[in-house]
Parts: sequence; structure tokens; C-alpha cells
Amino acid sequence: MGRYIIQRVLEAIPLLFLVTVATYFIMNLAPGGPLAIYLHNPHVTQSQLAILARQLGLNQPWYVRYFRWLWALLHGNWGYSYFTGQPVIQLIGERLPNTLILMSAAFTVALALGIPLGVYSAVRQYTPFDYSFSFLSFFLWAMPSFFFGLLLQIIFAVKLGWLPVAGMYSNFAPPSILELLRHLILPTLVLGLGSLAGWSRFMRSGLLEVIRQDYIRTAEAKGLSQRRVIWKHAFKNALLPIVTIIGMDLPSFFGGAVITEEIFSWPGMGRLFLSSLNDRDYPVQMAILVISAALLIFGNLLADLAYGFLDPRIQYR
Amino acid sequence: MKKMLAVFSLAVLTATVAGCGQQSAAGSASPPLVEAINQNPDSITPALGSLAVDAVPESFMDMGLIYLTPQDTWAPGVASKWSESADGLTYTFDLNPKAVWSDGTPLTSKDIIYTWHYMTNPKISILYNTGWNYVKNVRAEGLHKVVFTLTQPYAPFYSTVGSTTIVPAHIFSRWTPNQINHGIYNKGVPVDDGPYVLSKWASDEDLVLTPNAHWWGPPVHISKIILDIVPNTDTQFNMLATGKLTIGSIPPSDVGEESSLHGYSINNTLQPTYDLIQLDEDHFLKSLRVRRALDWATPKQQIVTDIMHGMAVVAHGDQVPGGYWYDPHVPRRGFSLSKATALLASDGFSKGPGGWLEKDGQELEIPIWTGATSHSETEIAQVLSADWEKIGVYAPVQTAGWSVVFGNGTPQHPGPQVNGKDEALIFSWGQGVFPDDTIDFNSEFVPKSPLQPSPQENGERYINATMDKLQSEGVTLTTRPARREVYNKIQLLEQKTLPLIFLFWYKDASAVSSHLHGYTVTTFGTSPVWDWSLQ
Repeated sequence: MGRYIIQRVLEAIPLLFLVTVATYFIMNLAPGGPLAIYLHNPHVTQSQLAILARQLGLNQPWYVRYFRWLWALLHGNWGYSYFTGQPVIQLIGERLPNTLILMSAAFTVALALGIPLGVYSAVRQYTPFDYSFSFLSFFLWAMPSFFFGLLLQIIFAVKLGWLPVAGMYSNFAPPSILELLRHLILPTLVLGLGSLAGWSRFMRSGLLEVIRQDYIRTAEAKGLSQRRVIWKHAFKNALLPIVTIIGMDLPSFFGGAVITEEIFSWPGMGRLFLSSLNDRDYPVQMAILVISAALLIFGNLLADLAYGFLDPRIQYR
Repeated sequence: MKKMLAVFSLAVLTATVAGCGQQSAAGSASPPLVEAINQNPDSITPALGSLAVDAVPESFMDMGLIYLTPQDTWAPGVASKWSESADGLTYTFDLNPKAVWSDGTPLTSKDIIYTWHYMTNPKISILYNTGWNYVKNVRAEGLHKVVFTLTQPYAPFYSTVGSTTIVPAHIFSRWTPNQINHGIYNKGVPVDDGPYVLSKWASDEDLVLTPNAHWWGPPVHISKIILDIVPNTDTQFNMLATGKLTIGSIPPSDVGEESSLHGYSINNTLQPTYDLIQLDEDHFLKSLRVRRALDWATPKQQIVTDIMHGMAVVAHGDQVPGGYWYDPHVPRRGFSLSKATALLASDGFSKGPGGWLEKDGQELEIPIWTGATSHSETEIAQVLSADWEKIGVYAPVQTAGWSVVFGNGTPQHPGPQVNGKDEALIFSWGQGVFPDDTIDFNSEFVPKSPLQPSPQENGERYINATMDKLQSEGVTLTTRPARREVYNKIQLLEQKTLPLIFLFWYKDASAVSSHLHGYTVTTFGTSPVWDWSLQ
């Protein structure tokens, strides 16, 4: 197992290097550039732009800038935002905890409700519950998050007045865990219910496939209770697709949710990434993309390792 | 059953959590003023920020030598008196001896001289230093008097230099340009000279301002100002609907829904920003008749009514209506397809085999470009295309990112501004409430070569010697009435020679809580914060 992990980590290094080259190259192919936003500012002169370009190193070819960025990164320096001048690591550090809070809450809701509901739906296949839950899942899955978010705001904040419209804390009360929880509910529902809908469908179809296997029929023939058959024999095997999806979702814990964060004014990574894209803020974009790529690789590794625990037939060499 | 119980318990917990917060909010004794802003400021370091939103916190924190009132007049700031020489080359400011920085350090002429050095330091990433480039010298006459000497008369001096942020010498002189560029001033509690200090800045969340203990001006009445960063306009409207904002904007899509907001008064304020069609004068668009025909075929009032939902007024020039420099007597050109058709016929155009007008075997093709992210501009382009095509002009709509619309592109695919073809570009623009429009229409600002990038702002390549002369007079004459006469002539010349087609001036709808008193907003700005109170 240890050797397998080391091998996978070593394989990830050239992959990450290729990701950084490809990302930097594609980013620089996009029209405009970091100074494009100033092109139509009535006060910014040509000479001022030339000074800015020199200060930011934008007068160099992209590959020169790339290797400078890479060299700095290898020395632990993530660079400075072109737009605010602040260290990239500081910009990320300010927002990452907020994103982790939101994404963890959504993940918990999706996992805690999605898996049991998927199992229940599979066990009660073709019952009114199954039909209703399938309809609801597709409805939630198909609902655009900006629309769903605004809808929840109007119902629970504007009409009923139960919950705040947006933000992390109230402007009218001291910050507290309770305030944070109140503000978490609506964005968590938007993110969590979307994932819940998807995960419960995967769980349902995974379990339906497993419960038709011979070994399940054997277990039932031996007179085991349905609960024991499902939870002891079928559940672990049906989890494999879900584990893969969760592994792939790991980068979203870091990257945040652009639309939900914007609708609920949640000060997270999604908004930072969106603004860095709009502003062509290459150092911020690169940092977020590289960390996301690393997390994706790490998530896949974790998923692969989890397979071994869930299915003893899988061996690591 | 157990699952049902779990769901019920979750619902009870949710309701409990919801209820707890409401109780503590109600118990709050002194509510703050909460104003929504749509973006995180990029910097509050003097002259380093590039976003319009930076001006909001700065308006509470910074005081220039003088400031502009909502009535479009100059009022004393750090300077208690000011004067200018008859030749327009010398400006003298007497500083208020009571003026101190928020850390208690006296604000003196040394700070003004340092500000000049700061604004002209090439190592600091100053985004723009308009006006400072005409300053030859700043001289102190004692601790409380400064004299600016200019290289040439420069009439917009008060709006570009006189009202600019003053930089605290004792703070900034400790730092290297590199530290300043990397936002060292933004950390902690920045030292400023305005009525409020920044006590908290949570990125993408809010900025909290509290009264400056060393403020030397009129006393302020609001104990806390929160600038809540709300990027989505619909969310902002929902926050207004729940009464959680003191001041917020109403998005154009929600105009007409204001009646659902209780406890607010609605202000519709004309903004010093106009929408325009830039006609790149490369081939047929060099002809004044063609440009006039297109102006006749542009349904401005329909655009204002149907696309802008009345949140705009038709523009006839580049001086903001109601302002000192606006000339209401400039003749107007309405909407008439028949006049447009006749003008094009008189210019030698006739219908070609393709169904479009042509001259000398060349079709009259004017693609209409605008930014893909702007919904209203795209709609305007579509309406315009339909009307221009009715008079025989082939006018396909092209949308792209703004950096593509204004950019150079590549040698193989040059951008629409530099490709040497007739193009029309729709976008918004504004030089502010001040009249100088030299960079827009002066021949000096025509791009020197096809691939010369912006900001050579005369992208339409309008060349008119009379305009050049008038604009030169406009920035060098020293008396306001004399300048106004010049700008009246400029507006008349714009109407006759059409460097651009002016579409409309934007209006901004904002909701202001009925608990907020002393707050007024006009095209020129808001009343000073010391006039505001919450009751």
C-alpha cells in the first residue's frame, strides 16, 4: 500500500507540471490581458500602461513569465495579484476558511440525506415514494442554482422572515456560531440539495444493480433479514460509484461555488476565482487552478484507496 | 418513523436557530448605517485602486484640499481658503490649522508636497495622475500654506488635483514603493484625514467604518457605517425588502417593483455616464451625411422607453443635463427613417443587387459591436441593426468580450477599432461631471497607426481643427463663464459634425431608508456624511 501511494504521488508530479504549462499557455491565448480593463479608462495614459506592464513583467513573453512564476512557486512564493498587489496566498487565506465552512455543510447535508434516501428509494423501487423522490431529485438537479437561491431567499427571508437573505453574519448582532448557522442554511440547501439529488440517484442505481447479483439472492435465500442483506452485503459494493464521485468533488471544497457564493454574498473562493478570471489576474488564477488540480489528483488517489477497503477483491501493487 | 423524527428534529433545530438570531438582532441598541456596494474594493491606497467602488469607502475616509458639493460647487476641505492667479499658472491653498491625521499627527504643507512627489513617482503603480503632470512645483509657505505652480494654464485643476486624496507623509515615507504597491497601507487601520476610519475590512464581505477620534471637521452623528459587499443586484433588492439595508441600489429589472419596499424613499438620479455609438471613420463613415443618416435612423427614445425601462434620458451631447456646462439650446435630431434614406441617396448611395445600399460597387456595411456580457447593450445593438437595415445599411450585430471589442486583436484578426473598416461600437462612457473631453475628440488622440492600441481615445478618428482649438481654450481659459461659452460651442459642433451618436444618459435608482436624515444625492454626489443622521 505504502509503495503504491508513493508511486502515485511521484506520477502526479509530471502531471501537475504539465497542468501548469497548459494552463499558463491557454490563459495567455485568451484575448485581452491583465491591462485590458484599463484600455478604455479615460484617465489611464499609454505611458502609464507601459509603466504598469513593466512593473508586472507583462512586457515579457509568456514562457519567460511562466518560468519566473514556476521558479518563485518552487521557492514557496505564490506571487502577487496583478489587480490588488496583495500576496496571492493572503487573498486565498482570507477566503478559504469561508469556503470550507460552506462546502463542508453542503457536503454533510448531501451525504447524510442523499445516501440513505438513495438506499430507501432503491429498496422501495416503483413505490409512490420512489416515484415522488425520483421526481423531486430530477427537479432539484435540474434547477439552476441562481434561480433556486433567489427563490429560497424570497420564500424564507423576504416572505417568511425566518432566515437572513445573504452574508455570513448579521450587521445588527455580534458575530456568533448561531448567526453563522442561520446564514449557512440557505446556501447550504442550494448546494447540498443539488448534490443530494445527484448522489441519491447514483446510490439508488448502484444498489439496484448490486441487489440483483447472485450473492445477494443467496443471502436472501439463507433467510437473512432485508436490513442485514442491504446494509451488510449490498451497501458497501454499491458505494463504489459514489466514492469516485466524491473523490472527484474534492477540488470543489477548495474552489467553492461561484454562483451560490455570489447570490448569497458568501465571501469565498468561488468569487475570488471569478473575479480573477474577469480581471485576467494570472497569479491568482494559476494558484487556484494548480491547487484544484492537486486536489483532484489527491481525491482520485483517496477514492482508489477507498476501493480497497470497500471491495476486498481490489489489490494494490 | 425514526427517519421522520430525524427530519422533524432538523426542522425544529432550523427554526430554533432562525429564531435565536432574530431575538439578538432586535436587541441591538444602536443600529449601524448599512450601505450595499457591489464589489470588493481592490485598494484604498491613494491612487492605486482602479474600481469605481473604491471611491465609496474613500469618500468617508479621505478629505482633499477641497470637495465637490451635490450642488456642483467647491467647498473647503483641508484648505480653508484658495485662490488662483489671473494667468492660471499659480494656485494657492491656505490649510486649516485644525486639520490632523487620524493618528493625531498635524496635517501640514509637508503632506501636500509629499503627495505631489507620490503622485509623480514612476516606481509607484499609480493608475492615473491626470492633472499632476501639469504641476511644475509645489512650494510651502509656512506650515499651513501651499502654492502650486503649473507648466501651463490648466482649468480642470480643482477637479483633478485640488480634490484628490492627500497622502500622509509620515506614514508613506517609511515604506518603499514596492511595499506600497503590494498594499501595505490596506492592512490594519489606515491613517486618513476624513471623518471616519476603516476599522475592519473582511474581503468580499464588508468594510466597517467608525468615527475618526481626531476628526477636525463638523461632528458626525452615525456611530458605525457598514459597507456590505453584495455582488448580486437581486440579492440587494431582497435585502432592501427585508429592511436590512439603509442605502441600496435597485436593479433595472426591479424598477417598477419599488412599491414592495416599505420604509424607503426612492431616488432616481441622473448619472454622469452616457451610452454612445462610436462610428469608426475609416471609409464611408468619414462622410458626414452617412453619420447624420445613421443618427436619424437611431430610435433613441424607443431605446430609453423599451430597453432602459425609462431609467435613462435621451442624450444630445456629452455634458450632463442639469450641470453648469450643459447647453439645453443645442438643436436635436429626432428619429426619421425617411430623412435618413434621403441623406444617403443624396450622398450617392443606391440599392445594389444584394439588397443593401452601395456606392462605387461597395456595399454600405457597418457591423455593430458591443460587449457580450451587457444584456441591454446587446438589445440596443439588435434594435439598431433592425432600423439601420430598414434604410439599406447592412448592420450585423457582433458581440464579444469587452477586451476583444476594444483590444488590438492579432495581426491576422485585428480588433474592430483597429481593423481599418467601418464599424460601430456601442458602450457607455463618461468624463465625469467635468467638461473636458479633449481625449475623446481631439485629433491628437487619434490612434497613430492601425495597430496603435487604446487609450488613444479618439478611436473614431474624428478630426476637426475647430474642435481642437475649442478644446484647447476649454482647458486653458480661467473663468467659468468664458469656459462655458466654449463648451456650448463644442456641444453645437458635436451636434453638427457627429463625432459620436449620443444615445442616452443613465439614471440610477436607489432606495434610502426613511430613518436616514440629511442624505441627499444628485448627479454630482451626496451631501457630506456629517449631515447624515439615523433616527
